[in-house]
Amino acid sequence: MFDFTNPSRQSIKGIAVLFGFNSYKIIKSLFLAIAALSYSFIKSGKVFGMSQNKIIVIVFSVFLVIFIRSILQYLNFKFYIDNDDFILSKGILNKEKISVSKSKIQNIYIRQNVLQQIINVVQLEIETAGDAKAEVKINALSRERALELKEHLLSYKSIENKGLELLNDTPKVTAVYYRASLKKLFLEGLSQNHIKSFMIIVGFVGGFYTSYEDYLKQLKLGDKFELLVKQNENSISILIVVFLLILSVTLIISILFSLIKTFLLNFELQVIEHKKTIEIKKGLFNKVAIILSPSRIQNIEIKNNRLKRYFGLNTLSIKQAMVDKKLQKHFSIIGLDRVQVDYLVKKLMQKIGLISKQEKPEKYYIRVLILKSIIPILIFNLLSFFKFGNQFWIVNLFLVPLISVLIYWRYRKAYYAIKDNMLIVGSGAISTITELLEFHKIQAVATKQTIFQKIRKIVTVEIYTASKATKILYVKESRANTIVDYLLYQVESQRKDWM
Amino acid sequence: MFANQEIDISTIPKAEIVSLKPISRSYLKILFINNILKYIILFGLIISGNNFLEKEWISNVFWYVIILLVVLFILQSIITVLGFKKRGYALRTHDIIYAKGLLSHKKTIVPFIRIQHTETKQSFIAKLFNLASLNVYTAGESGGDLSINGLTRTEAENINQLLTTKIK
Repeated sequence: MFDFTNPSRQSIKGIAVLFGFNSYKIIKSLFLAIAALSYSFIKSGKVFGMSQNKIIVIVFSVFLVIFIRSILQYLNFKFYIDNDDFILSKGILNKEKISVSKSKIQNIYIRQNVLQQIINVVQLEIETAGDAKAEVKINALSRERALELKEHLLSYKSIENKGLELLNDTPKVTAVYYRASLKKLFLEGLSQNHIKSFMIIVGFVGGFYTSYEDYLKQLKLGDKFELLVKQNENSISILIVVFLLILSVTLIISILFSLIKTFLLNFELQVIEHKKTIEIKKGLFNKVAIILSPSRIQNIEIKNNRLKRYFGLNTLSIKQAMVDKKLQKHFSIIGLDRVQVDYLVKKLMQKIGLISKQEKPEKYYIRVLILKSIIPILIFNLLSFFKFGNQFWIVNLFLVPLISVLIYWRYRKAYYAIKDNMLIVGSGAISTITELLEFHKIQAVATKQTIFQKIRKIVTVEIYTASKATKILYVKESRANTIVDYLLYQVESQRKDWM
Repeated sequence: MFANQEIDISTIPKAEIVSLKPISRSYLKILFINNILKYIILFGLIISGNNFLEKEWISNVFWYVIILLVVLFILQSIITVLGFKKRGYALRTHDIIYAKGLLSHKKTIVPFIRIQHTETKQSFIAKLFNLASLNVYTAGESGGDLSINGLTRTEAENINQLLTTKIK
């Protein structure tokens, strides 16, 4: 048993965590300078004409300052529970005192990064209603102490408390509902959108290149490559081989990247079922545990594609209100089969049931998509004109069918359905996306109409929840009005809380 | 006793037949003042650029840019005037409606029970015309908020008062 009523510090190991955080911050912000200085050090053995010993002294004293700062931070960081308030004071020179009423606590996260895993402490974050950012953070606590503090903080008993379901949900009826097997993770990684990974790699390499352009130039890679090309100028076949080689290497790297990313983020993914809530645990280096409670869920999105459907890999993304932006991306469960998706949706929202009638957007949508595709087609034609001259149109042999298929899919997959207490909107081109939201989560409804759509009497309806805007694209004006009236009627007559 | 009757869709109150109340005429003046200020700055930048930089390519395109800006100004003024008629708001028993936009018309409806808080604001220019704007905030960041500009000050305060009582 720990005593939380008297001001206490975090675990003494917190100094190490703070030291790690502070050093990381400084190294990150001075990364370029450090890289430049070490470059000149390696090259000439001197920085600003200082000898090796002096440099060591300077580096050492910088870390000493960071260390002292960390100790001071540790000493000035105290927290305690005073009746119904959690109080935290911190700051070396600028003193800060934060008090959070227990009743306002929305969620408590216990996390562990690599450093915290090594020295065996956890980080505790308190999330409150109203503020999107989780500001109350304790960097180093032993797991037992963190769990007990969590329990203490959630022990607030009040009928008004909307988070009650969180609190009373003692882990007695707990069972692991789903555990992602290595095979599932592997398949998920393989069937990821590799184009996206490719873009990330390109972006990363591009960013890396621009920041270190000068150093790279000195390596004279470009010259060497040019030389290679010049030597083989006569044999085009070698060029083609080189091109294919580069292409396949990037493809393999992209796939590897997707795989590694999937593994890192979703390692040991577990879905634990409590009485009323569901807990997600996952991550290799950055372990996260998230509690999903039905009252706070705003939207649910189910995503798959043809390949993933074949393997039974659905991704369930949950949008919850008042969640730290950084954490929001973790609110997803991958590798679920259809039955599991239905079960979880039923638990978190309500049963989807069979959608008997999918209503389609007007054919006008196809026209919009065609108009939108003109720009990329023009760009590709232009690029190909510079490359191939008069035979530039060849590119259209591939491009036009591809875009036509994408447009066809996009139109075919677009639908909406209003059923029971739920709005279901389908979208996607290569992937199939199904968005779900319950009527009582609606915050506001809007209709949008451009001047061209006015002539055709076509309207787009937008439905806002606390975390997302959902669009019902291009429906007839009369139909849009019925939808808006019906949704408003439901929200205003049910008078149910959205959270 | 619990009853669960079927809802007759045709009897649901219709938001589309509500006639919107136009905002104060003087707001058009504010829109014009803002517009003119914006273009004065643009013209000023271009003219001073032409006079001080004395680069040849600038004086070559100078008159084209001026003509383009004049055309843009006239176009924007026309859109402002025509679009002004599209602005309007309405209050029903359970929600507030606001619409605006000529080229792209958007009509937003916020139920009172979803309003988090409201506020009235008065900019420097609006103060001269005794106008105010009313902002209505809902939860979250998805964009269901309203900002009704160009209400008279009393109107804005009355609605604000009404909303405050409705939220509670």
